[in-house]
Amino acid sequence: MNRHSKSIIAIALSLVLLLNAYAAIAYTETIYFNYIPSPTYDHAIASEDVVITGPTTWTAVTRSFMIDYSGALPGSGRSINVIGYNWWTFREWCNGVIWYQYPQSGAVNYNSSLFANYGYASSHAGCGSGHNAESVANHEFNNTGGPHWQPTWSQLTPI
Amino acid sequence: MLKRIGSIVIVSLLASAAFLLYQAHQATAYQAEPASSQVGLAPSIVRQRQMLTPSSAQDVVDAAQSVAQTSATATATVYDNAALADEVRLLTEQWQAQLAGPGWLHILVQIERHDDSGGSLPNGQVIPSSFQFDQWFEFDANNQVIRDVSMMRGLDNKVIQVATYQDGSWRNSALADSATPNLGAPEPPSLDFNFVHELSLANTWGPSVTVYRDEAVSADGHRQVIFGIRQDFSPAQKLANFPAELSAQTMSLTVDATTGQVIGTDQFAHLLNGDVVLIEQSQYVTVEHVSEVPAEILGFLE
Repeated sequence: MNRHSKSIIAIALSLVLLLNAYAAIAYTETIYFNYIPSPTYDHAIASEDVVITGPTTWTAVTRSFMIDYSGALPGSGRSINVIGYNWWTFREWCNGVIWYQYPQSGAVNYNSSLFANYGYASSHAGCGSGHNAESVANHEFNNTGGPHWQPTWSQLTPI
Repeated sequence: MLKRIGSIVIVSLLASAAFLLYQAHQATAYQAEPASSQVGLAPSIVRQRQMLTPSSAQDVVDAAQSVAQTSATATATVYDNAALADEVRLLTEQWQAQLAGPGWLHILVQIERHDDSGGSLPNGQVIPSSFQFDQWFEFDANNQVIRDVSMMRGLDNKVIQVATYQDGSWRNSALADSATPNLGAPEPPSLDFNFVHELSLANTWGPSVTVYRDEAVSADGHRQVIFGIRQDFSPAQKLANFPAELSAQTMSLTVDATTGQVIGTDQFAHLLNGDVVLIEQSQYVTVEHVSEVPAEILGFLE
């Protein structure tokens, strides 16, 4: 492999990094910077997403994960003792009223760097205005000798 | 040598740009943790009002059969989504225009669901399968909503939850004020249950989404037009609010063919064994401009 090929590959990798950065903007996240401060400065991230999957359906996504200093991929950071959520709910709003709600009990992974879950729901036709979908969770990050972080985070999307 | 240095510089710049962009996103996304405490419902408020009779089970079955037949028809006839959207718009235009204008608009909708599939509110109260959605909108001369009171009422007329909007803020009785999300300013209600919008976009979802049209006669002899959207699932889909896997889901809008008045919407689950089961039915009970608003409604805004 000559130097020119290496350069092209390196540029392509950089573009992938750029695209990853753009993709991350699609999510709503809250971040605990340097949750594990050394030596690689791993960050903890609580993320919610609402994906509209058709005229009659939508999907809620909740994720708790660690990333390393490069920030490239969810779960790329080091594992922690407990990661997940204490509670998670996804719901539909109709003109300020909670039209549907699907509360979920807590769920975690142990000694892991990622916990994710998703739920499919109907997008109800009977709501004539102010129709929104929300994914909201109280996340759980706990590591021996480190901070116990329990952010409540939400993503609200018109449907 | 110069080429190699140049390549390294370019790669470094790109990598730095990516990292900086990501860091900028991280910094932008970070927000303070919102409050998550919850409080109980406001005391139930009862007002004297004639109870409305919910749709009978037979009505629901009949409606399901109607939709199933309509779907079968749809496989034989391909409808154009934009044409159906235009038809709904034209058919309901005059009826909707009668309801426009400043002042208070009252909308009462009867909701029927297949069972207690609505889950529960943050205060633990179960969302019932039958309830009334009672909405009051105050419009200014520019057709902007100034104030808004929306209630979920049980069949015993008790308020299950009430939401209010005024002075740019929402409140919901099932949540602590600080936990009520910013839902944005309320928009004028879509009296066609957003069907013109949904039909207009139906072709953007690909071949799994189709539209259909049917005609029927109501029990009291009125001609009706039914407009529908069908979403097929492959593989079958399990939804949080329904116990079985679905091969498809349909939602339809029923309009009086003579007056253009919207009657309501139906949403059905199509099961793998061919059964069609109601998910939700919404039917208008009242849509009216009112000159006086009950004291109970104004009381929620104090």
